[in-house]
Amino acid sequence: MKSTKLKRVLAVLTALLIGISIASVVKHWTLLAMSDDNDVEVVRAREELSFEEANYRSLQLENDRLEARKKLLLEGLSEQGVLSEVIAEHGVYAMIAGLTDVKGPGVILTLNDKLEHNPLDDPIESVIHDSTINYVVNLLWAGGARAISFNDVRLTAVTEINCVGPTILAYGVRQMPPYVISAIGPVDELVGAIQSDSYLARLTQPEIGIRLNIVKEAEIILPSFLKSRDYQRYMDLLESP
Amino acid sequence: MKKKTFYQYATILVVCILVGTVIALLMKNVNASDSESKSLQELQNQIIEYQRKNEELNNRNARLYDYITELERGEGESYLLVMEEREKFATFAGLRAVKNDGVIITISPIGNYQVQDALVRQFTNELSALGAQAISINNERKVTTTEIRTSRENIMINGIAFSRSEPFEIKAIINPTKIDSFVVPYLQSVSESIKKQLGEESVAITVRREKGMIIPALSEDRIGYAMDLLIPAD
Repeated sequence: MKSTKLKRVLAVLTALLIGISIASVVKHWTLLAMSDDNDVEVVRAREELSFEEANYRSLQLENDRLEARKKLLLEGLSEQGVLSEVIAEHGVYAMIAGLTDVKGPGVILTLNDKLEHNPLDDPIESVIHDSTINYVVNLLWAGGARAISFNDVRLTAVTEINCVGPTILAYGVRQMPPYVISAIGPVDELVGAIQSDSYLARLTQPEIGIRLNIVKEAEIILPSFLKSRDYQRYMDLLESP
Repeated sequence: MKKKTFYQYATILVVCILVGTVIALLMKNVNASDSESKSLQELQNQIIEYQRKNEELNNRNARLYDYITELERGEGESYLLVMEEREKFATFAGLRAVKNDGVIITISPIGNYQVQDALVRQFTNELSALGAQAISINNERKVTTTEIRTSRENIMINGIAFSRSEPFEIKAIINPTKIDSFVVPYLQSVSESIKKQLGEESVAITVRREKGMIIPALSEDRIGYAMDLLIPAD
């Protein structure tokens, strides 16, 4: 009697499970079909990305050619003694504005989130935020930096480093870790400013775990801001008094 | 009897296998579809970013082409172009005074409170993120190299010391169409949260719109003009 009861219970359970299994298999097939659609979209997106990347390279080459031609023409005018003073100032202002590639002695800082960061256990500071980047950049200016780039985006008078959700943007360009900040300036002073800072020392303690690497370089090259964005869109509100 | 027990065990075994298979299938599907959608989203973001860069670069190349054509003609117009571009560079660098509508934030310490550099930096960073195109702090123009750091009783800005016991006035030129609808209310909410953190008796912060505000140029004796360690690389 007892055995019959057990058999019945087992039979019911088995039947239920078979039902669940059938439902799961149907769901699995549906998901597989969706996944195939998704695969097609991913392939298309990759093709489109390759096209845009190739387009960018070609436009960048054209830009390099035009910039070189412009430079040559300005040098020619200057050598002829035409507008030589204006052209010299033109070069100086472009350099101060961050609109030319520059080189010089400097440091390269690499900042990275805590290794194997766990958002449930680790403090919020274990992830690099826009405020962390802005803090380090300010330290470097205070240490005498003459030019800085953040992930190869040259910083200008309107430094726009902010967060949208978990993503850091520099002038609207999305940045991913590791975050590389390169600064031209007096190398020892720059290293000293970073190494002696108590807030950074705290961030790099094991319990917070921010990874910071500092490399001194005899010469680094920083790109012009023009390689990232068009500067004119950042001054269209400015009128002459 | 033994045979019956065997069947019972076999049934339980089969049931367990079925349960395991179902769970495994479900988990695999969830993980796979999640990572695939993430990867597609990432690709789409990259495409949008490249499209934006290409559009900007295309426009810049078109302008450069016109510029070069004028220079090659070598007439009076080309000189004007060079001078105009020089002025644009100077303005973008913060070397020229500029004017437009904007906001003024005043941070006034109360009693013995001393203004922290982090507070001034927080507002300048917020203003940059809001799209400010020119910023000054106590009439010191914020340029590329501007530092804002505490040095004992002062805050250093462009190498100039400002007492932490005195008010700090931050001016910014910002898109006039957004000032009343978004910028001022947002900055006021930031001020309120700061006052809550620091205590109402520490600091007073006001945010107001200003029409036709002038932001001064960087003074020529500031470090922002120093280029001693920079060499053109192109």
